[in-house]
Amino acid sequence: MNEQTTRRDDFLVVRDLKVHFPVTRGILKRTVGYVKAVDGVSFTIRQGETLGIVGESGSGKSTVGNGILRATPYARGEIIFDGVNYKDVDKAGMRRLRKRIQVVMQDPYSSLDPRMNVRDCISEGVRIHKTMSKAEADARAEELLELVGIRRSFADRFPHEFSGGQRQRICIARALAMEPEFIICDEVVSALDVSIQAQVVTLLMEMQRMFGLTYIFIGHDLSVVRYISNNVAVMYLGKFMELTESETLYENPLHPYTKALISAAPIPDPRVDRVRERILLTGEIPNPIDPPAGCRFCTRCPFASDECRETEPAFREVVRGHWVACHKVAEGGAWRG
Amino acid sequence: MGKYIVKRILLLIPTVLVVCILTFAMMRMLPGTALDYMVKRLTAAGQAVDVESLRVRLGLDQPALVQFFTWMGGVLRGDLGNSLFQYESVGEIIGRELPVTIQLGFMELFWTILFAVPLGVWCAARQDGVPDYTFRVFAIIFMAVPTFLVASIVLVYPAAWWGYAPNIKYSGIFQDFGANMRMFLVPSVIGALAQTGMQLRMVRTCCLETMRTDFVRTAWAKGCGEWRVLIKHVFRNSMIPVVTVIGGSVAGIFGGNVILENLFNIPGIGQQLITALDQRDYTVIQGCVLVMAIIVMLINLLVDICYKWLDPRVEID
Amino acid sequence: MSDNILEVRRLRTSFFTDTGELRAVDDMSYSVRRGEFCAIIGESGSGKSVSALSVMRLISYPPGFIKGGEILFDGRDLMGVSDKEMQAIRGSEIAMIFQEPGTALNPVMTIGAQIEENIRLHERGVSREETARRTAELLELVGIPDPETRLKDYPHQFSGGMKQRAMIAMAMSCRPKLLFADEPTTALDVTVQAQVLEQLNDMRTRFGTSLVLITHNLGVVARYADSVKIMYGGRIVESGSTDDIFIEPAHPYTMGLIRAVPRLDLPRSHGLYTIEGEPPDMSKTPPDCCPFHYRCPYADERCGKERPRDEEVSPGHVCACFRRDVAKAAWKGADA
Repeated sequence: MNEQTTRRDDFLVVRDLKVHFPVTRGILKRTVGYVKAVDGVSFTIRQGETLGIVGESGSGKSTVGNGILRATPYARGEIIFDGVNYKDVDKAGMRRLRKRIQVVMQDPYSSLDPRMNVRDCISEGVRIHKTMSKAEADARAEELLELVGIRRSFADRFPHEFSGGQRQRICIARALAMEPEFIICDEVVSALDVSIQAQVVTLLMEMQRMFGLTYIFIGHDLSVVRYISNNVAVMYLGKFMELTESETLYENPLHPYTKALISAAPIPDPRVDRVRERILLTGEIPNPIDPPAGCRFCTRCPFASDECRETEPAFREVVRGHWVACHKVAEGGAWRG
Repeated sequence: MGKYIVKRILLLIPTVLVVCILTFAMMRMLPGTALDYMVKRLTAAGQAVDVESLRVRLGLDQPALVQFFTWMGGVLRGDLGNSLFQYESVGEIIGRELPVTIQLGFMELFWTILFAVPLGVWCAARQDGVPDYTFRVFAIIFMAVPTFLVASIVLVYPAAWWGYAPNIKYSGIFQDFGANMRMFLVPSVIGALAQTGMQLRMVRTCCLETMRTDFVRTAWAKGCGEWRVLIKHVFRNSMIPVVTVIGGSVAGIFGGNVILENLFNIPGIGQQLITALDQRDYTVIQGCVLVMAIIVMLINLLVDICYKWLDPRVEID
Repeated sequence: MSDNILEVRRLRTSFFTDTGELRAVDDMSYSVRRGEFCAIIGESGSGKSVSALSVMRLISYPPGFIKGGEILFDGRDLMGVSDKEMQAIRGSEIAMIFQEPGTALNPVMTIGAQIEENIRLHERGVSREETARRTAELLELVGIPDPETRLKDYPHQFSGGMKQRAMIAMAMSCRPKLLFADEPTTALDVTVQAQVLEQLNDMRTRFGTSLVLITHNLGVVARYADSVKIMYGGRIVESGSTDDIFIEPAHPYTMGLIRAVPRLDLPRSHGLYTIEGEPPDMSKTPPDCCPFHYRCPYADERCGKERPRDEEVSPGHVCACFRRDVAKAAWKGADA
């Protein structure tokens, strides 16, 4: 995607993002290798849209979010946010930029300060940036609380008095308080019960419509990720395997890993589930310190050939808007086995 | 494993060096010197003192740095120097008295482990039962009452009521085992009380925590009986934190012995240290602190090795 | 010999806490046929795990207490057997697998020793060599390569998926008649989840074990389960064959659950149905009501005052709801 020119409505452009964490050993902290958590990932997101990133644990999906936030010193690559290239901004500019990007994380238990009532939790960020008075910030916090579906009268309560789903709503309200344009949702519904998961996903989609937000939605559940996203990227061992529009993902998956993920995703209809094609992968995701040579997926791919074990396939656009990194997929998307 | 132990022992060297520097420096920073004390004592005895020649004889005329390196040089050759007040080398004093202190310390440790571990496990297994409450109350009492108070009571009341007094004549463990035990039994038990209280609570807490873990539930689900669950699954896992705490308390045990040695007239290094501190007998203090520091560090090493043996997840290399 | 390996009748298990009695399992009845793959679906706090632990008699008192009910396992009432007899049943006739393979294995014992322990606890007179051989065989059976070497490994040397496989091997080591698997795949990655589920089903058919799979994710059972029981507020609100539940659900909660899961096979416009509100707090919900009435879009006055009884919708398909007809009409309407 490197050659792609930046379109006007591209809100976030990420080119060749790499996050390599050094592995150190001994008392001298000698670097003996790197965990290539993210190893060259490129994508663009248009304003008001959602990019879903789906992958298993160890795929590096959360690190992509951290890379965009510049929350890790090991991130390399070009990031252009709303026309502003990260490398052209100074520290203060970066702080202003960071305010426009918010994160909501998986664990609503640990991401809220247990000693603060939820009103303060929500208004804390605003107060730190001193954009409004305490009274204004509090009023705004209560407004947001109501917006995410929690009664205003609960503003004096503490995080532990809420259920997991409610706490996730509070986290969303806290992110919204900063009036961001872009939110990274990192496994936001993974810890929640099915019925609560649907509530939170629906709330996120409503907020997106209401405020024109742009999302990156990171998750391991393909069904949920696809549901909320316009485009879905399938990530494996630090690289994108496939990136396409959500609607074509189930209809026409090209990468064997995507096919395996789809077949492993449960479908609550026995009439469909019992008859659909199944690809059961063997083994588990390899250690990212020592990824396999050639295609990263070759150790678990049922179709891997010598070519796959030797050269790494390029991530290329085989059909308009449909990117895939697989030797077995021909130009135009045909499978050449 | 062998490589690890060698590595750890090599790593002790800088620590020992720091201990040497610190003790040396602190001794010189105390108000009053060995010379002052000696002069005071000699004058009190009515002797004429040539302060300057005494200073030279004690080697205190040299700059502190020179004194330090002279002493360190001796230490490296295995010579801890001579006591400034006694006609003995520090090596001899430590060789005679340290084993006594170590015996007392290990006997305390023995009682602590003997009572705290099984009782702690029992309390956990019967949580909130009568024995659990009883032992917990006693544990708190043991921890709260200072050792010197218990020791004084034990020394005074039996003597007043029954005319009984503990043996205060020292004989080595290998010379007369019976007499030795009669001397050490009471003080070691008294010294172990506070530790037992603390460790009992620690063992109990750790066991209770382990009993709530998933793998203990798995053990029940497998059909293990209560004893089997406790011994095979709970016990070893609970011991991992307990060993750490017991290892850490060893230094405290040796420290606490100073009082017991004094009260029960045990000729251990603790008594020696008190006297030496009083007199500013530099070489004796430096020698004792050095040797005890090395012992405590070796015990810590032993604890880490135990840790590895208890918990296969610990990577020590 | 009865057709059912397990019959639970009017089981009631409560926890007594500072805030009062929490009725985790509140009058629950169900049965499992021999060789059946039965799924119990419920969200957290629905009492699904407690119901399994109650059958195993692993509810520790205090704070838990089985207040009443009958548990007929293979014709015997487990509520009446002695602790000793129960110990002999656990791990040999009824086994259980738990959610977190990471913490469910003893970290200081080798995998092999833990499986061997299970065998030796229940089969006296089996030699050490024989148990070791059987353990290796079991590990091989659950798809762990190089089992003779791996059985000397400690749990931390296994990956999450392999630990759960080892748990399956352990649970199956005495060929139990009944296996409870409590969220066995929830902590695992999706691709590994599929492997483990396949493995579990494979072992079930191989040993003729009846399997009760407890999960919050109704999607995972659609392919394998013979019958499904939906739990809410400590009771089973609907039970029936897998097709009954997924295709012709009768309880509004079941309907909500099915439609609250995003469907991969449908266009994104299919919409997501949300069940409003939170699961009920079972220490505050009165026993004489439908526990779902707080969240039910069709609830009327009666639902909050009276407890709905089980009614047969069709043969083998049972549902406890006063407003079944209204819900059904709405479901049909949404489908059309």
